[in-house]
Amino acid sequence: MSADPVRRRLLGALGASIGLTAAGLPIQLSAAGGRVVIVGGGFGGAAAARALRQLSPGLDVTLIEPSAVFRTCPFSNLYLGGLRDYGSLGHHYGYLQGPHGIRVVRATAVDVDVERRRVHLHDGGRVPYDRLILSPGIDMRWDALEGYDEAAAQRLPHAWKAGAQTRLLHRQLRAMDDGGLFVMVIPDNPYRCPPGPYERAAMVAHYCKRHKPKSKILLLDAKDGFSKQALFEQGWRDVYGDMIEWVGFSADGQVLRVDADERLAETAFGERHRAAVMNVIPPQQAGRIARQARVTDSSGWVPVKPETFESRQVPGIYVIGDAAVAAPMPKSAFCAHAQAGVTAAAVLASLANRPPPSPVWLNTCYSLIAPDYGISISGQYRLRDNAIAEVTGGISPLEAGPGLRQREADHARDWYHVMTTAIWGA
Amino acid sequence: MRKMVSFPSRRRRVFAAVLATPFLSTVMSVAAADPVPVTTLAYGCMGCHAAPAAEGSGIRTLAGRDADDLLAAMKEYRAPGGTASTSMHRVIGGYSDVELQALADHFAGQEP
Ligand SMILES: Cc1cc2nc3c(=O)[nH]c(=O)nc-3n(C[C@H](O)[C@H](O)[C@H](O)COP(=O)(O)OP(=O)(O)OC[C@H]3O[C@@H](n4cnc5c(N)ncnc54)[C@H](O)[C@@H]3O)c2cc1C
Repeated sequence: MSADPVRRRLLGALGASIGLTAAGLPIQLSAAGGRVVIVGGGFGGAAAARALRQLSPGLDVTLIEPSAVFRTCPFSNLYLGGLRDYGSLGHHYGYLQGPHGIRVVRATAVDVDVERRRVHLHDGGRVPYDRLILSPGIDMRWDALEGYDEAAAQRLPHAWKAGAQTRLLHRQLRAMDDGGLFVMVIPDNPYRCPPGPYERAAMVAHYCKRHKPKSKILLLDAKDGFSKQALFEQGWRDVYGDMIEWVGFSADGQVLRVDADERLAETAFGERHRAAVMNVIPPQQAGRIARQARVTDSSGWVPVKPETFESRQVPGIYVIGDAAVAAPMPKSAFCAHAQAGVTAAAVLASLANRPPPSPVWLNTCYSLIAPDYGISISGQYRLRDNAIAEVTGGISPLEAGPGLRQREADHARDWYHVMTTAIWGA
Repeated sequence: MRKMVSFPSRRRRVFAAVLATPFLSTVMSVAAADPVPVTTLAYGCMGCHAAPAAEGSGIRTLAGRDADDLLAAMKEYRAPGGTASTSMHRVIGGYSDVELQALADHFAGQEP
């Protein structure tokens, strides 16, 4: 890697009297020719673009993203619950291209030529890079659950990528009769947003309590425990009585087959549940472009060097967000944002042929039980023995008055506003 | 990647110390062998506190606040049984005194 031509060029250009920012990071790399390309304008990718330009204002940064408007999964459950409208989930790229000097290319990356360091676009375009950051999020594994393919998802929506799927589930829930059974099929770990299904259950219950109070929500889960479980179960009970029922793996919660026409879920022991509305969250894997770039392993996810999130398999490609194996960090938007900051600094250091700075990552995931009832999980992560470790963290207390739950609900809304503004806003 | 560096990390630190003017404010973390740059430390806080969006919300903006006030508040959150908070006390435990001081100075020096 010391033969890396970009590094040599940079070293020559920067020399010994390199300009340093407050972080001790080199500035104005673009003058020396560092081109950073990012695939995916979601939480990880758009945040990485912002962070790179903040740390190195002149840097040549290109962001490849097919959508004009990004819809956030965070708060899409609130939309299902009737707390937010669909428009509020959308964020566009105007500020990134304008004031922040990021080149936004509206395209899908279809391949990566790792030898020549070029990204291939769906329209035949080629984008050369010196360092590549992939933050493509997740793809569903259409082969993992019998009966659940892309066509089935048109009847049994996953709504695990925000957009048309979210609207479809919203429509189905609105059209459901009072007394209908809402079934959610939940996968084993790892998957996007560990507490997400359980927040969704609460938000669906919130809607039903007001409009369809005879309805029931049945959660069929492929595992025996979940994030913030005691807090969720307490909240569900306190606010919605027995409207929500959770069935874990040991109680025959694992669904092995679905029938989209019949709206039927069949469990490991052959029990069949027929739903009025069925939300199937299937097993997942890294977004397709990660497989094309050959950075995934047999798990379908991307192994990375913990210090930088550079691929363990292909040098010069960094993978952040849900696609990466970052455990014990959860696959959350908050973590994707945190990883973007650390990886931006690592990419700049790499371009300047310097060792990466030591990392620290934070996470806080809020979940809403009700509009005035929030709970959360937080953690701080550092490197320990060259692996990612949680150094401190915790969840909301089980014993708490309505005041704290209200404040956490307020903070959830504040967090969403701050995070989306920091990434896509002015 | 570290293997490519031509001098060992102790010398790197000395090198950093020589350059340690107000422009180079890396700090030593107690726990980790290498210092975490204050920009990396501060970036983590931006997940909730990024200005100016935090204005008007229950989450306070940090930029331009008094360094002593910030440091005192962070130490309160970190103290066992300290200030009641929603999540601050859960994430702040891992920071050393040196890191908290660096964060306080960093945010105090930012334009509000
Ligand atoms: C219901 C639900 C609720 C959630 N709530 C929260 C929450 O409250 N808090 C929280 O922290 N997290 C939450 N999450 C998790 C959060 O959505 C993800 O962790 C986060 O989006 C991950 O960011 P990412 O950058 O990896 O992927 P994404 O944010 O999904 O971004 C990926 C982007 O890459 C683009 N892309 C993919 N492939 C290509 C390609 N080949 N070429 C070009 N572009 C491409 C996509 O169009 C997309 O814009 C929730 C998730 C769900 C499902």
